[in-house]
Amino acid sequence: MSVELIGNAARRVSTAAVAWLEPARQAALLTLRESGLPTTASEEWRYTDLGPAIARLAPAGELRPALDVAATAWPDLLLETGWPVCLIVDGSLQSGADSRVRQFSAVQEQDRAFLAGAVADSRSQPSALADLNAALLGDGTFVDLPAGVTDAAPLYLACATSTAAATASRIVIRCGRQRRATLLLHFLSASACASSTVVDIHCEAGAELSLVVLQDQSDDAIHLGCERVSVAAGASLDMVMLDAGAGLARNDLLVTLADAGARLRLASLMVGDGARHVDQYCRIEHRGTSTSSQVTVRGIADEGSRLVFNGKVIVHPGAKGADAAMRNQNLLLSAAAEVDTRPELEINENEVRCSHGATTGQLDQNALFYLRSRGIADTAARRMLLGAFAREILARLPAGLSASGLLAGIGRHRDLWRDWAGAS
Amino acid sequence: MTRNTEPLLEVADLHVSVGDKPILQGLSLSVAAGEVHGIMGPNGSGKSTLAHVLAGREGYTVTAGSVRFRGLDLLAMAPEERSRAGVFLGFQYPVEIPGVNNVYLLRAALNAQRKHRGEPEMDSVQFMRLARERARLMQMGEQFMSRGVNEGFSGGEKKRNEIFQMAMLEPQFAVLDETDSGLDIDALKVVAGGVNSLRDGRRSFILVTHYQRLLDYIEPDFVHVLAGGRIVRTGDKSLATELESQGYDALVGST
Repeated sequence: MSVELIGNAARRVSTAAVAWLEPARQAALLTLRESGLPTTASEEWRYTDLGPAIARLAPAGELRPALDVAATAWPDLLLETGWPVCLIVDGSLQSGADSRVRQFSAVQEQDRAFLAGAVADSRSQPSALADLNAALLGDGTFVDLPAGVTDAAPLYLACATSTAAATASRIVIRCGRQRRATLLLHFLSASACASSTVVDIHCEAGAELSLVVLQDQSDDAIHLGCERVSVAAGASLDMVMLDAGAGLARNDLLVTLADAGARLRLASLMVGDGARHVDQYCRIEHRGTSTSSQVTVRGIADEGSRLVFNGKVIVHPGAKGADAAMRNQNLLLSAAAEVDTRPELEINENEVRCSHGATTGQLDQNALFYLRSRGIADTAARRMLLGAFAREILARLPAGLSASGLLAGIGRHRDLWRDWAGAS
Repeated sequence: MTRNTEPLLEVADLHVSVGDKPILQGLSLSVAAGEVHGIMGPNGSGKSTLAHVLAGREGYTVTAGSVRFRGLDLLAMAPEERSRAGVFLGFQYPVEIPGVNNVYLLRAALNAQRKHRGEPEMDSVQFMRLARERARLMQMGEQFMSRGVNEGFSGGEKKRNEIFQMAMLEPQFAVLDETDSGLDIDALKVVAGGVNSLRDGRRSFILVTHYQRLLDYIEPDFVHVLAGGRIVRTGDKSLATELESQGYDALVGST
């Protein structure tokens, strides 16, 4: 039934500008029809019910008209980074002239096949979130970082959702051979919205991409995010994810380390308060030889929030010399909060080095007493310890992106983030 | 050893339990300004419990008795209030806190105390000058100051860091809980030197220890023997020597 909601919504999306994407959209819809939308009966979706999100994303009735994009003061919500900014609202590039960023509808013909392939790619890493996003796609954003260019400034992509319903944003990033680049992706909204945002990331041979993904949607928003990554030979992706917003957030990070020497480093922080529900699904596939994935995900669950980490490392036959470490560490600050964690390894090759582990606990009472015995007030001592916990992740932000500058702009827990970022 | 001042710390008939188990059973102790008291005793006699109760650690139930510090009801105060009032605990096992910088903690602690006393915050230049001076005293290099609190410190480094913190915070009264344990003789001398440099005739110390050795370097005014949760003997520093040569059993009987 939900798939039909998406089918109906898909028919109402204006796709004239990107007619060449139509086969990819239809293929995605077909996949959804065939396999159905995931339910809580599946392990991957055990803790998050997609139903309410679909109902808001693709309502049965008439779509509510889009808000006047210009009337929303988006620039006020952007962060101070000093980097070139491109603002994308409801999937359309609004402002920011940067030669590296183009709308799908404005790309040259030779790039269309690559983009259609990226959008429709459901072979290596199937994802219902990517499929429903493809089905609802009206346009998209292509970030092209060609080979042989160096020293370009980092780029700040602000991806905003304005409408009350049915919006899908797609960003395809191609980081060319040997290219070094730094990108900040910021998901934001000013109202109760449901947003489907998918980012396809292709790191070509030898590329080094540093990517920060900041999810700071408004409290009543539903965020359905997906990053689908392929890393080619000798290439690396260094990723920091900060999950700081939305009432309901589900994010799928799907990484394929496709060829020899491909590397992933991920540091992620989820912060839960109120009745926030954050579900981070993570699937790392080692296919090439001597590939490496180092994943650290930390969660802070306060009040009545719920954090889910479902991580899976798969070492495929032939991926000799794979080196994988997956760590999930959580702080449970309230009796009403909940953390569900499940890091898993699936190893189909010998000669690999893999480890995984998860911890969930309260603030260290010994450390808390130690700080208080030095005259630090209980609340300040707790903040110090929380800050120390968060900074393990924040310290991984790329050079040039000041943690305090970045985090002071985050709407939620403004003081806390500033505190965490600044104090050391 | 005549006393002409009001005691700084007055522990009266203190009874403390952990769970259902009584640990301190009627401990009384009076410490005047400027005095150094050594507290010795066999394992399980309640030495560390006394140190923790004075600093305000949770998990101990005071079932009877009182502790007054500068006329204040110490037991009614939160750990941070005790610290700001001038109580310092040197931990037997200093806690490692990765991610909280040693200097950051000290500055926050020092400024919390100054604020409590109505003094302005110390600016970073003043603070660093003081910190370097005191760190030199404890023979701690700059690298210790920029690390996380006790993070990766050896046992001896941790103990030196405790005394360094004490030297920065300049408490009225310090309880040093087995500060000598795990120290080699050189580190012991450094630690003792740090403590001695803070003896100014007004500041008071309780040194909790197993061994006489520490008291060779920090000369106590009184030595108490704690057994079965009570002070069973009090004397001057010669008591420590006596204990060392005869053992606890001979002096206090089997406990």
